[in-house]
Amino acid sequence: MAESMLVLVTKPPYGLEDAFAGLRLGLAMAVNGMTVSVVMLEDGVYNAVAGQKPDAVGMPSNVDATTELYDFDVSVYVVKEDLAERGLADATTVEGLKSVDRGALIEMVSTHDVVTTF
Amino acid sequence: MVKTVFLALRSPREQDPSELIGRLASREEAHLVLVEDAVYNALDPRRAESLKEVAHEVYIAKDDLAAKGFSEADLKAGTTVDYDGIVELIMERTERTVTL
Amino acid sequence: MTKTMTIIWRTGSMMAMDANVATKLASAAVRKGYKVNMFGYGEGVTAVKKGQAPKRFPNVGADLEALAEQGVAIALCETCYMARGFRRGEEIEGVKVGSLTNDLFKFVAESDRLVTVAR
Repeated sequence: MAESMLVLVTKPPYGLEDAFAGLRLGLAMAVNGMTVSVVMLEDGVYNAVAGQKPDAVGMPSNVDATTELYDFDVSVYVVKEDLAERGLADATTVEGLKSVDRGALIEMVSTHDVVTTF
Repeated sequence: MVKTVFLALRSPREQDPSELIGRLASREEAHLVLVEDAVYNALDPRRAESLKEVAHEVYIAKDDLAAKGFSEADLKAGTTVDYDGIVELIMERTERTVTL
Repeated sequence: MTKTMTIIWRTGSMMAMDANVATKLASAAVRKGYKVNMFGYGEGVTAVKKGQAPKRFPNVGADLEALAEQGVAIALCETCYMARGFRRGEEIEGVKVGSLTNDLFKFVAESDRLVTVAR
């Protein structure tokens, strides 16, 4: 009986539907009272960059999809080393995101009942 | 920490499964199942070595391996598994399933 | 108590074998006595279209229909379905055109294991 879910977002924004779909899935679980955490890792960290203008390609905003999660107490993490590996160590990130070390991920997998990947 | 089974579907050049596995589970608790094009990982000696370093059990989908023209004898890591075995691994032998 | 597996599949009917992996996994789980739920999300919804007739490839629609007959609960994301031009009634028997909020949530909440099939 799963009471908590970890959503791994590994894909970048707008070229693929995955990241947006993952954020919406997290929201749908959280509105029902499930404990949800989202981690942006690998190319998923591109979703964390502030200043995205999805209108330029006619896509819905992954930033809005991220910040809407905060209303339902969803913690959204971005992996520090994955940002740094992409030259984004000093990039401004979306407000409210929590920075996390790679080393914290093992613990996060074990503290959530189920995991899904986007 | 919990026993975790990782599911990989993509070809070795599309994705190196060992990177993410090493970050999401300790070796002792990591089990890996290779299906579809991911089975090629177990045929490449170098990749097979890196998989063995991050996962203590590696399984290769028997039907996918056969479809591609290979058999158990060609594996550089792991052993073949059928879908009953994959279900057993997911439901009884591990606690989390993570798709890479 | 019977353990439950929920499978989310997010790849479409033909371009990759992912949906076939999902049905093979579901079929093995049913055979071994587990309760199985399946949820089609994103491009995955294309796999439930009624009347698929691949000449030489596996028929994932027929496989899903057989699973539904065996008691597998199958639902999909209506928003994803409508977005791709499908209408209610175009899906195979036994599939519910539903939502993340209602159907997937219930599936996950009652599950012991969640498996994602996507790439």
